[in-house]
Amino acid sequence: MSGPGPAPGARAGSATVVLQGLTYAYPEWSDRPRPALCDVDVELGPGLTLVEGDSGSGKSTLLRVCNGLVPHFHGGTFSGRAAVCGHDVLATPTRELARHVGFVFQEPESGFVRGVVAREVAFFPENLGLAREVVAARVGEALERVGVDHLAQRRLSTLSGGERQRVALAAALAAAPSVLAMDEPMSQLDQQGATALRETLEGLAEAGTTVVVAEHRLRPSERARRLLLEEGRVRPAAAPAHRGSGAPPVTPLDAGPDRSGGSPRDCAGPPAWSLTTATIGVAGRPLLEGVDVAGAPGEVVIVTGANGAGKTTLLRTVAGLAAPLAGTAERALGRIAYLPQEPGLLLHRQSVRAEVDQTMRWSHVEGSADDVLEMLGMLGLADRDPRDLSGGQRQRAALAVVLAVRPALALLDEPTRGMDAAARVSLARVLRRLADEGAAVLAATHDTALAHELGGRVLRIEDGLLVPDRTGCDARSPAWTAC
Amino acid sequence: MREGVTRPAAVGVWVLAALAVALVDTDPAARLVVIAGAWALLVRRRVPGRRLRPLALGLASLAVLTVALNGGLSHAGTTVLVVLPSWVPLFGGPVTAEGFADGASIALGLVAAISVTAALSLVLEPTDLVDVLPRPLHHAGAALGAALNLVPATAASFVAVREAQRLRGWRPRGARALVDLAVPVLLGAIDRSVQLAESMEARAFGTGTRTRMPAAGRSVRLAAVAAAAVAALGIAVVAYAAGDPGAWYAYPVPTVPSASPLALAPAIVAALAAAALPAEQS
Repeated sequence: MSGPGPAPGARAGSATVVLQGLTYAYPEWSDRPRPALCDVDVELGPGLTLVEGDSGSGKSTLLRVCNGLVPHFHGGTFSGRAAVCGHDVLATPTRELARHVGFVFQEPESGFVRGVVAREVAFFPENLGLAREVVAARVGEALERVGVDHLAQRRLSTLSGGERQRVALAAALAAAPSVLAMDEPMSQLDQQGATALRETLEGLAEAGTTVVVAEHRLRPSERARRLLLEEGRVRPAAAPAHRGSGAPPVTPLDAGPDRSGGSPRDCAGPPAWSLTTATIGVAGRPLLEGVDVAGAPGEVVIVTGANGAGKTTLLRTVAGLAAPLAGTAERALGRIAYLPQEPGLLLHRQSVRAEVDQTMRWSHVEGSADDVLEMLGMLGLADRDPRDLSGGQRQRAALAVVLAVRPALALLDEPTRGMDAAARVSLARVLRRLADEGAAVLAATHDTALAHELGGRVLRIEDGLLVPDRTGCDARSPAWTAC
Repeated sequence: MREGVTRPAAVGVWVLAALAVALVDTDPAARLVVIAGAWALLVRRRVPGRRLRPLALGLASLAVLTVALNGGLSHAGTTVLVVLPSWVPLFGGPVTAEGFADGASIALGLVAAISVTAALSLVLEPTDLVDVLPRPLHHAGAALGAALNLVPATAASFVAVREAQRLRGWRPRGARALVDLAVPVLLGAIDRSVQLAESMEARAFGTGTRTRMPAAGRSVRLAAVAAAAVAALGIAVVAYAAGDPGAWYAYPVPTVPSASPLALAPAIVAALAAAALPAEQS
């Protein structure tokens, strides 16, 4: 099947990425229901191309073809033709293609090579053997372009997830590639960062770079070409039905959460969790001070804020994984489900079902793992090895693992990371059901669409303070702190 | 010519010099000064997030064990505290105060040496050391530094996995429970290795001659720290050549620490150099 034509504005015959009759299967493909890519015919030229599709549809694989990691690094069965900037992908090693292609990985923190931001960004142009002056200039430009020039001398280990994602982007941009392939580059970015990234990508595209990005949070614009993948095949992108049944359109990045449904529940009765005059921080360094906030059983609370503001630390403090620097953190009796930012921490058994089953045994929860998986729409993946799943599918598997404890309090750190719209709707439904059954839900997220769909109370971290939403029963109101 | 030296170079020189001082200068007071200087450095200038408690507990255990073993096994000295029956393997015989004193001296040397060396891993990150490698080793060093990055990541992963598993209901009971920690940590380390290799490959590592960028953060103050450390080592060598006025012996009876200025000077200079190491710019 032929893919869409050249991007609007692209010059005829200027395709930088050409895939013809491409079919690819990972080496362990017998464990997978089908090849990752099937008979893909695509020509991509300068401009912005948004690769869309549900989790597991082959987006990451297609991006990896652009720089040759597929098939050179992963092996497997490859047929058809792929060429990037005139180089045959099969005949050119990834490290040579890297002269033309920059790549941003879905979990960039695992790929950092150096200890300090500026050194990490310099790594790529250093490898290309560019002159020192050029490397220094490229590093400065790349850091400034993604808005992290103030972090140049910071250690990577001290950065938040979103800040690391920006650094990874700068590290790819520093080589000034002709083709830039990005896998979920916004999954951990705050609103400001996501908007800045969108502008950066559009600027690069207008300047003649072929930008290929798979990102659930990016709203397709008229200037972008859309490439829809469905079970490894290219489909016409215009049909909304392909985005999954019942999925809403992708929320615009600049749309704020709808708080109309966010009115607080009745504050009578003891809270499920509370922070009282709390100062919270990392390694003795305060991030939030004077926090007085509580969540009632059955209430959904969303915490937003810029990268590095302290959302994860807030969740860890409520979970009891970190002690407040001052004040108190309290939780009602009952099991806690805690979803960390890295789903891989929870997934190491041979199947998703075995992993969920293990949680239920450890927590002495009766019932069937399949019930939990069905609730999350994961039954079809029950027998798959979690480590073979796509990023979005792994995230849903990790959610199934932690929610299997039947929690009284669910603490979720960026729960929609890498998820497609349909999976997000499904997650919102599950969380609402949890809340209806009496569980308190506290989620830290940049995903305004999730906040919109959950309809919970929204708190924002700004300048070291937890700012109340507009619903009245806010973080500082006497009515709320009296709960 | 750029002025000053880099932070990794300054710390590296200080570690080498302070280590030599701690091993050459057997004066207990000098070793205590070196330990104090090293710990001041670790407490004030360690990489954010690095924990000192495991090191402190490890050193305390090592010191107690060294004193106890040397006291029980030495049998030399004149002040007999107790005589253990000869049929007790190894420990049978007189247990002397001098044996314990000698053990304390050995423990001081070990604690000083380890405390000083710990600065390499607690004040610097593994990749920092790549910057001080000579040019011929730069390429291999970049790969080595990247690989070394996996060490703290794996240690952090252990803590994160333990937290995540505990909240799933896992409890640390029996060897089987350890498997539930070790397997995800190991698999995570393998995943990180693969992703690291992908990342390096995708950024053209290995295509040819790398550009070697000058390390940032050179300063005259860092150069002064390094120079002071070298001076400390020089004084220690001079003192040793001049008859080692700080030499201390436990047998047959413990000598009184000399408190000789020449014996104390190297340790004091090394400790002052550690105190002068500036905070990292960020």
